[in-house]
Amino acid sequence: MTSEAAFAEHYRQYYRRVLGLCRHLLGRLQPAEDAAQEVFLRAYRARASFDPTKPFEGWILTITTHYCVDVVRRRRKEASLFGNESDERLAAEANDSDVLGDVLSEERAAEVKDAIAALPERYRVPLVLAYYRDASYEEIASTLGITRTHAGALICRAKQALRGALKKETA
Amino acid sequence: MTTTPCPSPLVRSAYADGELVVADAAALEAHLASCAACRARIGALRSERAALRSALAGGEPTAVPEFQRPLGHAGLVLALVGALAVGAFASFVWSALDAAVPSGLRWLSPFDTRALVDLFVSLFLFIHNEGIAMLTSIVQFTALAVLILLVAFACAALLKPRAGTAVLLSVLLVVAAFPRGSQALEIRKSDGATTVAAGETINDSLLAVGNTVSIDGDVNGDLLAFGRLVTVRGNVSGDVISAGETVEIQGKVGGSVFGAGRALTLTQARVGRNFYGGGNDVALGSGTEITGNATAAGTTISVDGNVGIDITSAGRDFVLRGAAARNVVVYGQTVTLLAPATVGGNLVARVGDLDKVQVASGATVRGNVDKQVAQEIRAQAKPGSKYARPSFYGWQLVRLGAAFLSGLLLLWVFPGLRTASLADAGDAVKAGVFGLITAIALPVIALIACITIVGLPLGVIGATVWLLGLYFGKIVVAQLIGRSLFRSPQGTPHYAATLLAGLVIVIIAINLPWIGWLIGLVMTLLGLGMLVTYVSERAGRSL
Repeated sequence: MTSEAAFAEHYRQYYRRVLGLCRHLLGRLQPAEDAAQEVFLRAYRARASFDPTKPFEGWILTITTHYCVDVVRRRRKEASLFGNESDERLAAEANDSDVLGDVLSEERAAEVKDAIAALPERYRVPLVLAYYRDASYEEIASTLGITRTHAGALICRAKQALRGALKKETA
Repeated sequence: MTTTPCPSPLVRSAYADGELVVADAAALEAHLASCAACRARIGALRSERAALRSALAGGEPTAVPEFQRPLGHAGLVLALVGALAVGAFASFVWSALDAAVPSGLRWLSPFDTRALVDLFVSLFLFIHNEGIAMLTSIVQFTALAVLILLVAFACAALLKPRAGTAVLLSVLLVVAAFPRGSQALEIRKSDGATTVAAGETINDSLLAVGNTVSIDGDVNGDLLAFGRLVTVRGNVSGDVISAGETVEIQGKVGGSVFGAGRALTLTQARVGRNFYGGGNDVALGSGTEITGNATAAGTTISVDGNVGIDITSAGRDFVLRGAAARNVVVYGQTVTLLAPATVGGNLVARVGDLDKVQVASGATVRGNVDKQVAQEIRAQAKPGSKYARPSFYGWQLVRLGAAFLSGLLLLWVFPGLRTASLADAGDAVKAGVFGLITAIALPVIALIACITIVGLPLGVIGATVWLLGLYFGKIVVAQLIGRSLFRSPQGTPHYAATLLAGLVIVIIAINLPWIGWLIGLVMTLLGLGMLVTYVSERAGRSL
């Protein structure tokens, strides 16, 4: 059982982290603010089920992930939001683009964020879960209801698409 | 030394993420030992990963908005107390302004306890009197309502593709198995003339819609008639609820008449209970007998028939040639009693100019004649712009204050509405359409629900919700406007500030000459639509 005061403290501490995850998963700031509020509202209602021996961050980010993935799914009517596994793998294998590596300096962070926001949902969501939430391929796969290799292929494709977008902007 | 082929981009990506299974990772590391190009690739991938992670991690807005805690039981009680406090405060303001408020306008006040008591008493009487007659149709109505609900449910299920088919099938089975033929309401409609011929009898309540509606036969139930020209010559045992450009009632009505139209005329009509009418011209022609009260609002109101109890009239010109057994209460510019008018009780006139109350010789008032000047009515009679009067601005301030307090309460109880927004033009159109549908459909549904005693509470609730929605709609839009005004990367200010700013803009906008009413209408519909969307989303979530 989490007390009101403890919850308020958690809220202050993790709001930005949750907002960030919402923003990257949903791609836009304004719905993300509403989503963050909704996530904390759900967490508040479910606070009795929180196990205080475990980190709050993991719990709240799990709620956030499920909520935002639900929102993304609802936006799209297609049954397979994350595409076909073998297609994505073949595409990933075929694309041997130059890795940007050090080119992505700190000054380009805003540009990188915009490029991520512009990615199609099927690439953006796994990429954000991996690099913002620090989720393993296994966790991503189970959250999105896909296989582990499918998740890996989508992340690889996401990076390839980013390289293309950022290179175009540099050129 | 044999060299293994270079790993694919997919394998390299997974390795850089530390996600390659142990055996594959070992093989790849063996390859790396001998391949400088792949080592460089992996190094670049890792720094790319670090760059992406730091880009994603940084730069969220620094301001953390207040947590919008949901209401608990204590909160609900507080909200109720708050609502009462707002009501009491508004009532206090109203009474404090009493000196300034013309007595003739007092009946408009929602805080006038006498008017409220009247409303409840007549509601109770309505239930008591009409209830017995309607009891027989309750079961049938319930069956009809269940059917309608099932059909609506089936429609909703159709929109949800997966579970839909199964649900729809089961609903169709239930509908097919349902006993037929029991309908509490007969419906007749056409694009042209809708008629009930003379000699025809309808043993049900009747809903008649058409360009012209002529009821020459008898209806043993209530009659709801809507059309450009509505004529009722036959007898109706229940109530008549009718609206049209021209509404004429010439038959015998067992219950009450609720009528609205540009011209609303009763000729040789007999009404068993009360008459409520509104329109440009409301006329109770000679030979008309109203057993109960007659209440009318309009530009010109003339009463040539007889009214069993009181006449209450609000409008520009009032002319009485007939008789009222008890009091006649008139708010308006002119009040004229012509021979052979008879008023059994008092004549109460609230006018702009005392000279405009004329009782011709041959007209009789048995009680007192109480005539007083009502400032607001006098002001209406005066030519000149409403913008030139200081009282206009005072009223707008009162309106702003009331809207602000109600808005604060609304946003406090429903925190989600603080951030309600229209993402794009599509959303705005959607909200507008929802608002329009709600604004039209809800009162119609409420009216139809009121026909039976089961539906009556539902109808009253529906009508209340509708009125609240119309009022709160503009407040929701005001919050949206205020919020978009003060939006900045540092976050939005407290909702009270955005609400107040938005309300000021809304009140100025809806008072603009020529286009103000249009702006007001659009805002109301938009806000109503947003409220509907919000409520339906919330309902959807809790399912």
